[in-house]
Amino acid sequence: MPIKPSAQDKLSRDKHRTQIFKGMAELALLRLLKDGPEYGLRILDGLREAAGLKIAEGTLYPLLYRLEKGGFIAAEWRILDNASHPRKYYSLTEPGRAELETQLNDWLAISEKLQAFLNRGDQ
Amino acid sequence: MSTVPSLTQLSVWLKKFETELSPLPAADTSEILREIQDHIYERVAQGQSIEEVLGAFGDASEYAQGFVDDHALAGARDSKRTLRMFTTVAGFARRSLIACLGLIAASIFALLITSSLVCMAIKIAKPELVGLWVDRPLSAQHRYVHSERQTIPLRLGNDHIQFGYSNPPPHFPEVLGMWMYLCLNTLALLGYIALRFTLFRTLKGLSRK
Repeated sequence: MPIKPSAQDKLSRDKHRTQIFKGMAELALLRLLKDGPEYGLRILDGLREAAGLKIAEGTLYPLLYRLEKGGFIAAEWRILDNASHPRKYYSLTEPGRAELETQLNDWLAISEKLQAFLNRGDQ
Repeated sequence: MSTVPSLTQLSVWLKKFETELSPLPAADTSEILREIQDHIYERVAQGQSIEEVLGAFGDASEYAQGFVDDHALAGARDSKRTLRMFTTVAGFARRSLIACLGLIAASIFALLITSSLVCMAIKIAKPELVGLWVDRPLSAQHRYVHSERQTIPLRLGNDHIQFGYSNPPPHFPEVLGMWMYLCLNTLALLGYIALRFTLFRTLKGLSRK
């Protein structure tokens, strides 16, 4: 009979997943901004919906701050036609594009090897 | 809960958040605050309660700490000043294993630099007390008389090979002579390079974390 996971197990698994997501958030964020400038809330929703990363509400802004200070992204307050107030839009800079390329290659190499390792003997 | 207490809760949270962001430049604080505030209002407009949104952000102090830490780390790294990098790593050492290990390594290299420079100063004043003494053959029973205890380590070696400061000097021959200056200079330089490398790597590691 399968053992039903307890609430504690679920909490622990959620925490573990959050740690994994946090590690991937930077790569996913840079990739998302490659498609065009976006503001905080839309970035967060994009990471959650399109990238499937269940990152916590507050995780995004310190990351954006760090990337902006590092020169990987640039920010600009803009007011668009349908918006009631200006929003801070983030866009990818040239060093950001290079960083995305590096992180993407690293990620693909690691995930390919890891997948092969995890699936070994299963085929 | 009614709207008025929720708004009070929001203003208390934002006030605390702003206060905790005080180590940041004023322009950064105001931009972050404005952005977070907009985010909260938009979530509320989407149908979430203020309590839910604030709950998702967590404690204002802890949340602000992330920004303050990033600012401190970036500032130290960009300054490229050894002392600032060292004090920043030391500041993180109590709550981070990476910083703690980095601080230990950096302290060892700092000690190496200090010892080399102190030895060099002593060598200028009293050349006979600093050097490399080798008692050959190395397999012979040692005849080295241990000098007094030192408050900072200025000597390396065992009973047959002594390097650095020794008072009184060993009875066996000193082999480096004036080359000792070059050795001490090289040691200080290598220590400095290793110190800066360690601090850079530690700060980078902390930023990633």
